[in-house]
Amino acid sequence: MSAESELGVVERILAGELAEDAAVERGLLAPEERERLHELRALEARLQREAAAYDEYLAAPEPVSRRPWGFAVLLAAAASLLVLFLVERGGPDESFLRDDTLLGGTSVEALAPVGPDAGAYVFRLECAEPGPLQTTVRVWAAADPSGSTPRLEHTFDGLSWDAGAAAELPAEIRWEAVVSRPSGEPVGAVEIPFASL
Amino acid sequence: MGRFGFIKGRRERAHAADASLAQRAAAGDADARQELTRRLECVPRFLRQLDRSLGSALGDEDLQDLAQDVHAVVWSKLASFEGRARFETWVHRIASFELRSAARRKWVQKDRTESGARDAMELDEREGQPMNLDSEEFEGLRLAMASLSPEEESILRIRFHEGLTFDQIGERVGQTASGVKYHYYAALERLRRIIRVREGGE
Repeated sequence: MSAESELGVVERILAGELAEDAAVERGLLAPEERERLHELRALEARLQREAAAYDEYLAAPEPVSRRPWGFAVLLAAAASLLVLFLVERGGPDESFLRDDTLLGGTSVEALAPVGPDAGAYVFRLECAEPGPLQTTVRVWAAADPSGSTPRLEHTFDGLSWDAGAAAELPAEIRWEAVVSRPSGEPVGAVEIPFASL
Repeated sequence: MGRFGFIKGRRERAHAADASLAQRAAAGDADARQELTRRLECVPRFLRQLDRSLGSALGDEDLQDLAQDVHAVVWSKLASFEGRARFETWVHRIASFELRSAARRKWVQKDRTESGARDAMELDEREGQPMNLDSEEFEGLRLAMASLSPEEESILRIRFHEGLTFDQIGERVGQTASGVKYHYYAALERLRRIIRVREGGE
């Protein structure tokens, strides 16, 4: 006996091999089996709805508030050097994400500059805080007195893995990163008084 | 944000390039497929990171198996990738969903108590599913599916998430179409019974 022939009446109806009305007319479908048929149809419909929701989930742009948060910033020492992905010292296979850039601990961890590397400052910040976050990075020339206008100020909203900024920076800098919620509530901050290429 | 406006343009161009690459790969372009295969090397890293965020729910062997599943889903869904995010971001979403499903199954089967079920239900909250996919209706369905055997769950997922016919599923899993059909309806019936117990009827 083949597997196909083992299908019951209900399954054959679901598979489109037998019409429900015909099965009823021929007395092949007891009331309780008819109820089971309807439950299975409802279940297939529910599975289809869930699959459609899954497709929507895949098609939707990354929602800021619903993703692990983390990024690296490459601040070029020359204006011609632009932003790259989350790059440290890896080869091509490491050119996208490192494990440890996805989630950090329960608080902000700022490790920087991870470089200098190829004439660039590389900053990495990690945070496992849930919810939408933004980070403002400010960079000053190290020689500037405190409170002067930053040479670079940029807010990252977490929308992209490959967020970043480029600017002309001196060989010696100080910088800070402030992580906050959209409401302005601070999550954490770090200040690095000195770094140099 | 004037002076940084180029970043957005750069990102959008990168997304478009990824979409083009995916379409070419889906159409069978060997170079594009090779390139995507290389980029899929991120999958094990994603899975390890995601697993850690769920308290290391799965072991190394499970993660290796899961990586294969993620690859299968990526290739089957490739034509639907529209480049709204980087390819890796899209893959990360697939990996995240697959890992949560696997962890849920492991927890539910290991611990059929309420606490086990509660842990599993908290998974999506912790990882942050879109509301629709996170609805009570679907969460109940996924918990019930986690009680099926891996083979049963797989056949239902392939059928619905990947939209494959019985013939195509048979080719994938090395069975005849009629055999797949039989197992599919058996899995569906088991799922119906589980849901009946859990929810008091479908």
